[in-house]
Amino acid sequence: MVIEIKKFGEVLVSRPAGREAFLAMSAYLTKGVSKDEIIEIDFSGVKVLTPSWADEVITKIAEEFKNVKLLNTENATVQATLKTLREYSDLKI
Amino acid sequence: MKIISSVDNFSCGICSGRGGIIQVDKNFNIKIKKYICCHTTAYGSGGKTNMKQNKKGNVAVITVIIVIVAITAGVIGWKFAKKSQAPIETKTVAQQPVVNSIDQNQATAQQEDGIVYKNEKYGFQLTLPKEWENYKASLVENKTYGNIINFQLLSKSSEYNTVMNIIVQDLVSYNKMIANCEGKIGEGTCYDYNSYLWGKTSKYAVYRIGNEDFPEDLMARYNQISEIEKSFKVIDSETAGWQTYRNEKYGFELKMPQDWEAKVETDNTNSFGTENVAFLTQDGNGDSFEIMWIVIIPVKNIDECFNTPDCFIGNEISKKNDFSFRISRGDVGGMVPDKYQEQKFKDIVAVVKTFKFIN
Repeated sequence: MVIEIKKFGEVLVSRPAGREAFLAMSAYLTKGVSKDEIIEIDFSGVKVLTPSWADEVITKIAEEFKNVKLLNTENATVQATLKTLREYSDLKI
Repeated sequence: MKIISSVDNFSCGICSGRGGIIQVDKNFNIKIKKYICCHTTAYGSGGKTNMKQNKKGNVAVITVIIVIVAITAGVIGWKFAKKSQAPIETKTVAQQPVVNSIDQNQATAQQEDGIVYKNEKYGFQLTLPKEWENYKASLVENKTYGNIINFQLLSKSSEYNTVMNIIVQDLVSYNKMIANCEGKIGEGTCYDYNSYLWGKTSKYAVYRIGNEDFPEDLMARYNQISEIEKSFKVIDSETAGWQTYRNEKYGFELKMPQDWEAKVETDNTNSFGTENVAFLTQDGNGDSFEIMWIVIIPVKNIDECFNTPDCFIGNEISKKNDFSFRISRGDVGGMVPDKYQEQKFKDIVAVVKTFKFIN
């Protein structure tokens, strides 16, 4: 399954907005999906990603599913955010 | 939950004046067996400051009891000694709660690591230590507060005594009670209930204040309660007992907690044709607030809305018949006290997972 992050906007900031995005995903994307399924998170089209937004979405998806892959992470803010999450939020991907 | 009670609580105020078992053997030697009274409160035993005073008082009371009992026993002994040599036993039975009914909703299963107590009605289970093998559980109904489940064990005196009682209260009245006690902790029956909470099922809060009264020989069992508390497990499904909200106009439904209510709001402040279903619940003060919205907007108006600063429509969860169904959270912006944030968010996640179209 591929989750296109750009569906939630191009500028992804704040925890409330991140939680809301996670909620929407829970309702239509990840509902009933097996914990073992491969989840691909696609960052293409994202202009700004912040650690607060990503911590509410990426970290939670990584906690819920065993096989999570990140795609198109070239954007500098995406790179920096993922680095921060790995260091401070125990993100294992 | 921290259990503050200890043997020192023997002198706690709530239990002062309670008696013990006074035994007179065949040689007219008198033995007094103490009852242990344990009451966990947020403020400690409450008896510590008066400990010395109470001890002095206890000595005086015990001395008087000994004298009275000795005289009584002497008279009784003189009267009946010739008839029988059997020992005379006088008991002061500790006050027990009135049991209205035996708990019919329980089931137990012996496992290697203990005995599983399962309560289907309230949707939780506990693992009791092996030493609780012969326990009895009974339900005391209480409409004002929650129903109480008393766990009783056999003491050396061959009597069942309540060693642990836990309260099961429906979430609506539990939340009201918390709200009523806001800023009044310590007054009347206002305890810091959340610190006594063992857990919540979809419909009930399960907690233990601790006001048990039992003989000293059951103290070791009482000390196992913290272990039992850790074994608390919810066995009902996340949404069991929830109410169903149906929207016939747009043809969808979802499940939501009993204390939520839905309210349809037509947004006339813009020209995007949005219609919102607001879901309301209560915060810690008993005030209603909007916890989430399902926003319904014609698909053709989405782009225009995105380009308008004040048009906020959340994230899409589904599309049907040219309408986009979207989710927007309300539990932000300081409306919910921090301690409720996580639970509220878990509720919202569970609710949106139940969203589905009818037909």
